[in-house]
Amino acid sequence: MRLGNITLALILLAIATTATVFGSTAMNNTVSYFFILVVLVVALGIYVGNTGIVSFGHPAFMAIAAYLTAILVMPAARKSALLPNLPDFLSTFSAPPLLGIVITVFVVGLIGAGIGLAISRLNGASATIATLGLLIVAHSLLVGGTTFTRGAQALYGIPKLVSPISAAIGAIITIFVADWFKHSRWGLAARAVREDEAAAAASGISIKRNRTIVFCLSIAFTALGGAMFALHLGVFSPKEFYFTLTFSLLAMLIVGGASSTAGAVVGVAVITMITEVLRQAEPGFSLGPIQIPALFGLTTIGISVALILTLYRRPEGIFGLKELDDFLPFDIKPRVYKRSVINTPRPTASQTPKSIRVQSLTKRYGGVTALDAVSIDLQQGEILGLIGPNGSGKSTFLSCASGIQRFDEGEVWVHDTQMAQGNPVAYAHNGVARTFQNIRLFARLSVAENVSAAMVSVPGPANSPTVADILTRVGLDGMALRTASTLSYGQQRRLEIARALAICPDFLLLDEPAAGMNSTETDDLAALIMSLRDENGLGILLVDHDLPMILRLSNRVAVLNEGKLIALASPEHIRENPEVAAAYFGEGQSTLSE
Amino acid sequence: MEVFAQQALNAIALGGVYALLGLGLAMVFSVLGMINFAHGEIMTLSGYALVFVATTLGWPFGLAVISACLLAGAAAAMTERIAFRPVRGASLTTMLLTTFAVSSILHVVFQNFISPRPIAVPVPEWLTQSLNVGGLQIGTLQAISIAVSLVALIGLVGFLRFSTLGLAMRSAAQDFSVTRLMGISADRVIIGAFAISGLLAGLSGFLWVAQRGSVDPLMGFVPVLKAFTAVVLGGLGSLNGAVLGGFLLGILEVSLRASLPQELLPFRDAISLSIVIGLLVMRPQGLIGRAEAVR
Repeated sequence: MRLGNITLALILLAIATTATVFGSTAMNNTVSYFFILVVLVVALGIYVGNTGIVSFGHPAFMAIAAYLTAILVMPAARKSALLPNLPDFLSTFSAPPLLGIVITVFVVGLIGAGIGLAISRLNGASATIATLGLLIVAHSLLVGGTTFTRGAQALYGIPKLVSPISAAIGAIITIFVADWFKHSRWGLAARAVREDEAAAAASGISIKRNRTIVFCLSIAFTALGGAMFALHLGVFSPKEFYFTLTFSLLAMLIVGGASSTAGAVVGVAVITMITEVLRQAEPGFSLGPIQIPALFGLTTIGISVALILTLYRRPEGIFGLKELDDFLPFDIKPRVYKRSVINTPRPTASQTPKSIRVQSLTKRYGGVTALDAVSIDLQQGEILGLIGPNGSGKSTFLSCASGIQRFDEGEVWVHDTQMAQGNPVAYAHNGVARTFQNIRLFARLSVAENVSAAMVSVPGPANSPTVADILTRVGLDGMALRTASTLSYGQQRRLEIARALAICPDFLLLDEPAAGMNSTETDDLAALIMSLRDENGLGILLVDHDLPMILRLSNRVAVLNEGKLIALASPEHIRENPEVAAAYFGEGQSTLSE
Repeated sequence: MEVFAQQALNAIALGGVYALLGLGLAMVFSVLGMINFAHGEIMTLSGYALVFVATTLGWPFGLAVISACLLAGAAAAMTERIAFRPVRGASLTTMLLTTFAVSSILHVVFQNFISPRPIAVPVPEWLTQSLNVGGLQIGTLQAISIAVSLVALIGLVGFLRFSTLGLAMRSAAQDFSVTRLMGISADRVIIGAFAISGLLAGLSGFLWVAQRGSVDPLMGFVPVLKAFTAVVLGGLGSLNGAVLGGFLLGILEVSLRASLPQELLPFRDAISLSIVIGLLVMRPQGLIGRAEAVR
């Protein structure tokens, strides 16, 4: 239980109590509605904040929930008058309100899981448009589905049961769950995916499954908000749940800060205040001698301007990525995440040494053959250098051999498993970790979270190193709480290696880890790479342009030129190989060592 | 057979409008990565301009259409200059919400300063007549729809292929940062993309308005949302994909309208959109999609 949340809960309860004791009915209504909006916006934030994908579709689920609650909770006599075509089991049944809410949350949550499964297959922009489509589909179903709704007409006579206190309790539950989820292993993984999909997949995070879980939870709480909405207003029609509401909810979320639970609450407060003030002004008013005319839609203008100003000035919202805890005067400790332990530990290096075997790999881009039947195998406990001139296919090879890219012909075996193409998650779970040529960190997460995200996603043996151990190993101890993007270049490179180590790999594929480093940093890196081989028995594929380093560290060196493997031998042989020298320097130079 | 031919013409006419809208959206998306919700309001604006020029100024209808299109192009370029430039290069979410806010503001402006109610468009009589070609009833408007869509598409292909700015825009659609490295002005390419997308919105606005006979503040909103799903289905960022998606959506809607039983007709938007989303889920990259290299 975190202090920021408790503070927030106490504030909300205080508001609710004050309204109940002192407020008028109108005041009570406003306060209850405010809490319902908090539920809806925090629920929307569970998806939008953690995944970074905007959803326009949430009000669709809210609408389904509102109708479902209304149908469940309304007295049977009124139901048969308003909705004569309801199936019997619904028309004769009248649930107590709490049961109605629970059924609604459960049923709509399940629908959310199903839709989430489909939406999760799409990337950001496409997913957003698909949710937009969902909103239109749901709206037209509600208007057309007159068995369960009254079409475009309002459904009325739903018991109004929501009080400020009960609404505040709903809001507090939602806030606690949202905050717990954000820092749970699934929430952490979702935020990692938000920061960098490719790196998250290479760290063993199953993106589709993760997003489905996030969507489902977010929809379940949206359903809670929808149910409360129905029991608060007592009367509504499908148009309540269309673009106006979608827009307000998104504006509240963005103005407050999509990635922050406390921010969502503040966003609701700010937009609610703007709306209430402008609503007074909407019919026109006189300012001294000047008569301001009526402006229908002034509230919409107010919300739009607030949103645009936020996006111009502070795109991450008022709270940014911070929570209330970050402002309270207490020490923050990095959250400790636990790895899920596998009972049958992977055979260690002393038993059967493993290998990655790449067999006649061919990759073509249009008419260009980037890799031409390349076969390389990598053993545990060795460093295999991979060199070649620019454009020789090194990065393509590494991408194909780590599941990031698909290829045209050939096979990749990790130990005794033939790997499916284009599935980096499976590689991570089979003990293959990699780094990227252009550093790909989870930029806005902390150093500890970068490593933890990978650690929680791949099960490992019980005695495997903790996050702190790994950070010490790569020389980043004491930096656990720093945001990854604020690290220096060399530190970022090392954090990438730390994240790769977090999945307890047997193999480590390093794509130009020394690029851009000065000589001291390169020496530190070389020492680290050697110790990973000698102490941990990792098999390391090292792609780099730093020939002296490669020749010094590697047990064997492979040379690619124009997509063909032209040599694979010990560093001594490579140094004297005339074909390699010709590839690098053109004809005339007979060996690299000259 | 005749019914089929008739429906096929309807599908091409409707698909053409979606293709024009989708192409405008795709032009902006491919250059900027921006999902532009204000596109529908540009379409609405062209409808209002058409009424103003034809009725208030009393110009001939053809001239009114041309000036409405030009105005739409200029207005689209202005939205970029005034509202979207501060978020250029920002995240997808930031740009998308900015355009959504601008679209909402424009709704309110139309409602307050023009009229919240539909305004009749003086569609000339010759446009509503139909020709009899070999037993087929072809509406003049339908014929014009098809002709305008085709001419616009061919004109755009010609522009993109043979003009310098067009070449710059095609390369920007492939890779904007490399295009800028080649010394091409980002402002020119972006303003150009917006102006062309505005022109296309203006054309589709004319076709839409002529069909309905009136224009209201929310007119452009829903067709543009549908065009968006079509663009995504075709392959986000691909101009050919946008055209393909637009025509597919047109065909889908017309065949649903013709084949659905009476009691399901109210659900036809829901059904056609569900089919589009379903297809998209099966092909997440779209029909003409491209995967990007990861380094």
